Amino acid sequence: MSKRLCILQYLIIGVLTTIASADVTVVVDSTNKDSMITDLRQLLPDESLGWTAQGEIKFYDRESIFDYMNGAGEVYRMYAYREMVVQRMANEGQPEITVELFDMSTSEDAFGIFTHSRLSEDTSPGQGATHQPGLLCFWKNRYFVCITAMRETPETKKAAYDIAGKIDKLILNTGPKPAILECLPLDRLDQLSVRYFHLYTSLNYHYYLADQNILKLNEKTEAVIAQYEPHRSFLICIRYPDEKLAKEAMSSFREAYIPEADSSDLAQIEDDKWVAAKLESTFILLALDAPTQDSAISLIRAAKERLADIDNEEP
Amino acid sequence: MEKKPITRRDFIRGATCAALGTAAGLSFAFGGEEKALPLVRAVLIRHKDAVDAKGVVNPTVIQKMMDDAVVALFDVEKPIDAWKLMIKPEDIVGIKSNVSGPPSTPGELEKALTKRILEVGVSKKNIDIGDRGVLRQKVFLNSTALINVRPIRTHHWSGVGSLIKNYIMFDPNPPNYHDNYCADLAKLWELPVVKGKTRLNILVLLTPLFHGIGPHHYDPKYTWNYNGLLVGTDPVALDSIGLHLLQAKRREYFEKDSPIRPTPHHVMFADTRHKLGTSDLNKIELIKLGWEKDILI
Repeated sequence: MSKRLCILQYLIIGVLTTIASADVTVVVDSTNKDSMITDLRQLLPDESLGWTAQGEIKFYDRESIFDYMNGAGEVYRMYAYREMVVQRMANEGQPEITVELFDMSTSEDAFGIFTHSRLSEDTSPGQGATHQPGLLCFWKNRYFVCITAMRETPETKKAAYDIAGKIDKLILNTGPKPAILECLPLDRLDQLSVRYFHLYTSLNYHYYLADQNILKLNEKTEAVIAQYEPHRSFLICIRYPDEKLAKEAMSSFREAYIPEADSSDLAQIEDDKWVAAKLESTFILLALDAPTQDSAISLIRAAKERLADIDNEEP
Repeated sequence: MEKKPITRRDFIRGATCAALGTAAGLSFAFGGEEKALPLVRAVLIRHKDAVDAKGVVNPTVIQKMMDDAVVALFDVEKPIDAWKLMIKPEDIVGIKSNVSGPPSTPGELEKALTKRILEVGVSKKNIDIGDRGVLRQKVFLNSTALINVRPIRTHHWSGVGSLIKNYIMFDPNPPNYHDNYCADLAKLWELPVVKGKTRLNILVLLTPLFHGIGPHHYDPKYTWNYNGLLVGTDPVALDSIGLHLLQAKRREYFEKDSPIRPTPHHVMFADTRHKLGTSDLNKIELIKLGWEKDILI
């Protein structure tokens, strides 16, 4: 597809684009673009420190992403992933570099996919970056970018950061992180363990709770999970679109996970660790793997105190 | 909710798939308190020279490993006796390999299998090896027998690439199986093109991939020369043992329990929902042959 045709296609798509999938429907609002780039290809550099773009830029939407990465495409579809472009870059005598640029629809979901599998975090490029041998990823505004080298050499690493820097510059504005992060108490928080998500499949990736959606998570719920030192206890904070669903989710959780708990919603489970749950308006707070009853209660209490700091807009 | 959910607490109680519990970061082992009579046999065979330091597979060693494994599995005198129990001369045999990866199914192993199938008397034209193109390969479309052979490796969506998952190319639309981390991959085994045809499963444990981050993950530092093959007739049992091995390696490497993510629950569901085989390690008789160093399980 020519570049001009591709841009035209975007214009035809119009103001609202509805992306449907088997388990999630995400409405993408493209009216508030600010300085958003309408054609992702404009963000890709043609060259970097000897690497030059090779072949056509590939484009994948929510359906065709499987053609590029098979089942792993589902990871992006757990968020409001909209489309991606892929550019391969070559430099004679050096490993190939692949640049993947994802439009995640919102900065919150760009942050979410960034947190999905990060092992480390640097403050730049972008609004946060993570590097491991052969792979540099960062997020900025609604975009998530990954630069992969077939094999990392000092040269590929330098080029990856150069490419990332160029893309970073072209994305003019930053975007907000999810407001729900505010519910996490900072004391003893392992920052790298913070993950933002919507669906129970994401939750099960980070903490396998059940084979079914016992917390009634959906594309409109916002959730964050994090671990606390020194016992690596988990805190999960979920905001539902309304109080009715939050209540139903709490009942479902009680029945499926802690049926023995009384109205305190506290239980010591088979591994001797404690579970605590708290329904608070549209929020559910869960402490898991806590070593003592007191530590579970303290974690919930500390999170509850922070809920007032979260804006009351619907997620 | 349609049926009672299986929760993390069920894993902790050990009420369900031990290997999956292990993969979720919980501790299990062969021979727990509720030991039952083994119902399923699997053979783990290892050889220190199966793969050299450069990753080159030794074809002679691989042939010997396969031969010894099937002799032990079927409790017969000679490899040909075992193969005659699995394959008839008039069979049309597809060897379902795996080219994804690395690691992928080694050609040396494919040749070792082909050699013995030919010796049973199957015509050369009635044997084929395939992966992504199986739905376009005549032998697979008309097959009467299948040999399922693939390496185990971590996978960004299904948790692991498993023997159960290896049949995904028999469906023209693989995304049909993606829901809930590929929970119901065992449904693949009900497809007419494969149902009831599998004679042998081989989980390749030569250089397993035990960890990875990201959709295209492969880093040789997360592989090791285990130099093993796991052979049996029950794909769920072999995958459960494979998971157990990966988790043991992760515990050794990371020096702590490190659950495979996402949890590869399709292995458990292959047992509990789809009755494809057994995932309960206590019900598997694991015969260990050959090299014992750092066997881990």
